[in-house]
Amino acid sequence: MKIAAKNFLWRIWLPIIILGIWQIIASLEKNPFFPAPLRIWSACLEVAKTYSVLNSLKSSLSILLSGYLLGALIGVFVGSLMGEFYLMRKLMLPASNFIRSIPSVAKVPLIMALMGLGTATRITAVCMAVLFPVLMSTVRAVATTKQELLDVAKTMKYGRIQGLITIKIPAATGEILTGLHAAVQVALLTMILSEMLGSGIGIGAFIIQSQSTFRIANMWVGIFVVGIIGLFLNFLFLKLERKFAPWYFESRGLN
Amino acid sequence: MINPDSAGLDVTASKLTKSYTNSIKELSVLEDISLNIHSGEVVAICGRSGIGKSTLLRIIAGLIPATSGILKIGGNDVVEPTLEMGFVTQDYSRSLLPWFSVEKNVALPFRGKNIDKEKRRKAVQEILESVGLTQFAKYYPWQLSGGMQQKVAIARALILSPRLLLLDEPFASVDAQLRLELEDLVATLVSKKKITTIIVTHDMDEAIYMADRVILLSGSPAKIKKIYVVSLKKPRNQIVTRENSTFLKLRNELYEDLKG
Repeated sequence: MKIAAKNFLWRIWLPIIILGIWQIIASLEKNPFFPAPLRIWSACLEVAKTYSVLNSLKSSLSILLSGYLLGALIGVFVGSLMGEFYLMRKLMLPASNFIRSIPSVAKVPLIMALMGLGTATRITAVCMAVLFPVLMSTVRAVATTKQELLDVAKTMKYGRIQGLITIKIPAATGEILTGLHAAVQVALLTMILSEMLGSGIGIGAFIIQSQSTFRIANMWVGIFVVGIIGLFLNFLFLKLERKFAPWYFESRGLN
Repeated sequence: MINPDSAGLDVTASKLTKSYTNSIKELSVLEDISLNIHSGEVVAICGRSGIGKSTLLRIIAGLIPATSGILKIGGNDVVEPTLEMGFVTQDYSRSLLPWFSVEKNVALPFRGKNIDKEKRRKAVQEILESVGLTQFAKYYPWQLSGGMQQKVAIARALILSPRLLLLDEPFASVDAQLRLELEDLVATLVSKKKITTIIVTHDMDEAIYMADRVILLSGSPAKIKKIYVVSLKKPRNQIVTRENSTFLKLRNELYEDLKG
């Protein structure tokens, strides 16, 4: 218990000092765009009482989750096949590379023009943002299985699909998880942007509306909520990585 | 088991060659390799690092094709690996699957084959016992020491009772003490079931200690320079055998030939 408490103190001393300094400066400054942390906290408590705001948060999280899962599933599935089958890779890799090279932020207006402003658009935007980086890292990982493991598959007389399922994809878990982890940030970014660009609901919309109506403390609340979601997802992935590919991550994790 | 008739397979190679061609030139690795390995015999393939020993072993395993020549195992042409064959590489850390426990790694050759569950379980239990890893069945490879990992790889290669065992520098990455232990372990397991065994090693002492015959490869492209018959009686002993005058004489001869 004592050790856990000590660890916790080590982790939070810097944020506490920053918040303290911020509080002091903000209360001296009186700049309306730079509210003190305590002011933001009270805004947060107020906002949390409003039904529509909680609804926004719920909407954002469900968009993020469904878009992310959809993109991740397609990315890993198609990526695995592309990693295994040379012809498929040859046919599809250049196009995938091109689409991936367009920043996900630039794809959002296009998706909106094609699909309107509804929920489907937001899910598609997040899905597209996640799909391509995940796909590329999966292709690379599956296509570069170590020779020793290929020999194992061959000496065990595994067929192509069995080799893919029993050996190649599991061997790629570490790199696939790294890709999935990196995609979280892009997903979050795309979600916020698609909400800012006119959907009217979600955290992104809440931030932009608060800003334009000069409810600056509320804007800060939105920003913090996004930060906390990101922090939580990052933490979640660190756990997932250790759980599903400990041999890959245990030696390179940061404490 | 999968191979009930467990007498070792004989291996016949005649004028095997291997060359790699890229856009610029042809690189010849092996030339005119002819040899006869009898059923149940243990043969060591020796030579300097990078000479093509592993390439020869991979050809015999059916993992890569020879460029020309005839290769027969148990009277059949070799086209691809068979389940009558066990294969162990030097790099156990790369050939074991880190996402599977020790027992699952060992049972890997059973996957996708129609074999009774109870039989599988028994085979896994037996083979783990024979390499002394029974209490580590539930561990993961990366939780074990290097020597133990190599034991897992050996157990995996032996679980289908192969009639031909191919070992590629199997003990090169374990410490000296364990190396001797593993040599004796393999020697015992192999002689008990009369498995034909080919072991690739750059360690002359190990070659003589393990083998009935030692094949020395040299030159570029590599050819068989000489074949030595090791007349030391079996079972051998790490201390007694290595002090035996026949052992020492052979050792000197091999070192001289390698230099010359």
